[in-house]
Amino acid sequence: MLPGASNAPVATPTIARLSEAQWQNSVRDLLLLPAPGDLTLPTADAVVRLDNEADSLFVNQSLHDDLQAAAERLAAQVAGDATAIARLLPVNAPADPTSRATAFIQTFGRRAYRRPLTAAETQTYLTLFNQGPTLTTGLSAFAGGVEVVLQAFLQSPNFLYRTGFGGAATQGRARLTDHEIAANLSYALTNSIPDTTLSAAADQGGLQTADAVATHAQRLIATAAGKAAVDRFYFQLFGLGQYDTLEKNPAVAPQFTAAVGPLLHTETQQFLQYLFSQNGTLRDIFTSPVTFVNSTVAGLYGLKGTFTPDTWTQVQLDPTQRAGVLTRLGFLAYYGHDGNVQDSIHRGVYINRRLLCLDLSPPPGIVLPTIPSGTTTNQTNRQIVNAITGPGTCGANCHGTLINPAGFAFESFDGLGNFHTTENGQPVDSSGSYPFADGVKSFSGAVELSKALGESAQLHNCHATSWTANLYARVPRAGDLAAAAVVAQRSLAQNISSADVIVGLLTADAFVTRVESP
Amino acid sequence: MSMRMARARIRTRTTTASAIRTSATTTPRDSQSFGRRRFLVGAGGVTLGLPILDAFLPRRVHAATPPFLGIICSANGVVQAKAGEAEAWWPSQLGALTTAGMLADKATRATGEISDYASRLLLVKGVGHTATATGCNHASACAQILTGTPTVMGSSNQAVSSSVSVDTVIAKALNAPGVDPLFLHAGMYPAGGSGFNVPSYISYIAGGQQRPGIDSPLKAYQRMTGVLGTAAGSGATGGAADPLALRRKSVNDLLRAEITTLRARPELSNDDRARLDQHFSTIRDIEVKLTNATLSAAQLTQMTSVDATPYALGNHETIQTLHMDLMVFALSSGYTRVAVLQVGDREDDHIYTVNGTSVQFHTASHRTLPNSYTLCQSIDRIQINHFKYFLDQLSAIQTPTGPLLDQGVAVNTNQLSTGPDHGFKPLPFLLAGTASGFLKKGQYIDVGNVSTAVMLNTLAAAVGVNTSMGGKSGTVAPMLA
Repeated sequence: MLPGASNAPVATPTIARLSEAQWQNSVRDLLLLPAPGDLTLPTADAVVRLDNEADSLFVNQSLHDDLQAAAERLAAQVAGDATAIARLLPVNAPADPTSRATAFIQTFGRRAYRRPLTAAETQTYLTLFNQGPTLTTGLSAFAGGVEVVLQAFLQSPNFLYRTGFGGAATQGRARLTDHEIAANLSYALTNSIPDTTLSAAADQGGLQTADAVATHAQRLIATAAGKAAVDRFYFQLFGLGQYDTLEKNPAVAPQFTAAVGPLLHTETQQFLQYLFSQNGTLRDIFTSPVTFVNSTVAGLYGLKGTFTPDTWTQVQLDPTQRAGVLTRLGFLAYYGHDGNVQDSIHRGVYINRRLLCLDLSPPPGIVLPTIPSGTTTNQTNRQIVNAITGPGTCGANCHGTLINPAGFAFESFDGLGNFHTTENGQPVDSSGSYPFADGVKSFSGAVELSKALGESAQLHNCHATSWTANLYARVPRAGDLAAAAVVAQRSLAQNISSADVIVGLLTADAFVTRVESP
Repeated sequence: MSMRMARARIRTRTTTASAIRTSATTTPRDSQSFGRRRFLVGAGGVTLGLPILDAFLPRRVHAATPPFLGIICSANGVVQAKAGEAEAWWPSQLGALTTAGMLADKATRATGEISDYASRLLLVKGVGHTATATGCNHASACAQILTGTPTVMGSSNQAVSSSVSVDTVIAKALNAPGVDPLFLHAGMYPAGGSGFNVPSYISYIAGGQQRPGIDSPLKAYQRMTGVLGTAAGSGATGGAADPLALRRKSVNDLLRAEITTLRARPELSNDDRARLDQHFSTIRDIEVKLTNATLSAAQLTQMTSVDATPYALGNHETIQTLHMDLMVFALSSGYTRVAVLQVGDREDDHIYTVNGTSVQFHTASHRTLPNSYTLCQSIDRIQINHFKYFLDQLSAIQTPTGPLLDQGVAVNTNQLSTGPDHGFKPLPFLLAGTASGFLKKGQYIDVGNVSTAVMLNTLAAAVGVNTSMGGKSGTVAPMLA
């Protein structure tokens, strides 16, 4: 189970604040400005897991100030540009000032609120619009009205929060409205407001069946925004942003300049994008020898051929050495020490926590034996780490059985990601066995462990749960976990594509249902 | 009310707390701060012009400063005597601290690095977290160090506090409305969801809600001076009839009404209702910013140079000292009465260079690198010298009643006691400044078995705030003068 997830009956959130990325995308798509300026919010969210989880998103004082400043800045930008205002008016908007203002409010409000405004809401905004001439200077009456209502719309709680009220609850459960489903679906798959097609479907009450949701989901996944949303999930799951600041000791690894980290990020991102575009599966992520290189990355892999700095070329890595994302340079070098020694422990911790959803226990409350100086000259890294944390030591419980075996599978790769067979004159040992939830599996090294991961129900369960957290934008509740388990089983048994994993989770009842506290 | 009377009131007050609730009351000592502020009318509402203080013109005399609290908190623990390792942090003798005594300890004890301040220090041993670990001592300790909470929510490295932190309590009691505590962060990871490897902050706005630390000193400065978080639309002429101020007022009225309507929905859970309540509280018609104090051009240049790369290894220690400059600036100018710098994340993964050797601090703290014990001692000394820099800046500012340092309390502590075992006790608490005589000085004391919550109560009391952190009342009596 994803740490933090709960099988206990916990109410689903009824309001969910937009993440920073969702806010940025939404503002961009709402205002239709060719150059909306800097949309960065200086106050970042202190999220615990993924960036969109409702449970961790609040409006604190500094974020409010940022949102207010941005709303004022953007509203002024639109109001000062007649063309920009015209983009936000409906086609054939009436000329009568009040009717025109009403049309502006209803059209823009429908998109910002992701539902039609009520009559009372329209009237409230119209009243504010009519104050435009007295609240602004240097603008026409209409432009002044636009500025002041945009300033309000962009800070409105009905814009900043998605809602999940649904209809009347029966036995503590209520199905979400069409507009709520549309908004949740759109933010799950495009990180922004619903497009015209999805909005029309919601207006027509056409989102109450799983088939209808699936149709829109498949359509949205294929859009550029859909691909970007998938990228964002993998970016977070695999920590790709951390590669960007990868630094190595230049005395040991002069080839690892500051430019390398971002390139390794790009390499893994392209690998994941490629698999997704090919209807790839979770197994493929852990077993495919395909990758993409430019001249720098090709050099780091030791590939022969002609490569250029600006062109990324698809290549096949040696499948006996490298299979899947865990054998890519980014992962291996990120989990490497400052020099060229591999960080076996943190490679193992990552696999246990992020890929297998294990909640590792804290270290023992005693001091571990210290590595004597000089032992590194005639021992392998595995021998050193095992001496301190392996079987027979105080760290045996976690390190000996869970962390070290997973990490040691990658001993054939040093801290720079280079394949090697000896260390300090000793042969490297990357064999081991791991106690998966569905049984102990033995392996000879990284390729076999990656394959074992792909065949493990534990990996499929954890991966589906992580996708659930991302798509449902919350720490998974009991019903969410049940939906994830169903899709995980299909992923394992039927080898469904990653795209079908997404659609499966979005067509589950849990996605369109509000659950009350018991 | 005299200072003594104020302290007596704090000592005798008892607070009833059900579950985990933190309450705060203020003593009259805080009233002097508001009396010294000037209220100006400006763009977007009323600008709170803070007192004209030459904060960054060292040794110039300015008005007396009310008590403040500045905290520097590191991670990974320090090298203490535990399970076979020799003591390398605390002084060798309890009791009075002298420069000579601390210098004599300097070869073996990291606190000897700060011997110049011996007569103004209070070292407090015996404080520890009370909540048990929930799968990751780092996250659990991170959740407790400023909250003293007895209940940690969540598990593993996603554990969070269930209650508010002391800096928030103090800021709400003493700062101008809408001015948060200054909370700065010098770590390896940014906020915003970079993929589970998140910083885990020690400051909490409320239970379950961390306050994101500001990584860039420049942005923190801009926030204080109003460059961030304010904007000018049409109008913005300044003055009571400023169109932007009027427009903001009308918009705010609409937003408040919308939140009120939303909040009335019966489907909302208590958590969601609380979320809206907090949002409502952030909407204010008064803008607060510093209008009459600035940092030096050299400092701003240095801040600008590291603005885009606050997480770079090479900038880590520069960021720390710049953050400390900002803390002194914010505290001395009266912008805030409480400022916190978190060094590291829930663990400190920074790679320090010790005698030419690169050391990943967290790994060394687990003693899984050759010479880890010695390397960690060196890192402890680096961090104590950073704290000394903070004290030097506070001491350099004179007030009519003495150096600024003596008006408040500067604290150096750590989320954990020791690294190898991720220990919860004894936490290293190194205090300087007495809050104008409220706390003892020149002493190294062992208070036995005191919770983090009660230590936090004591620090809050020193600045005039009576609180019961994590639902625990009382103060650490041996610390009081």
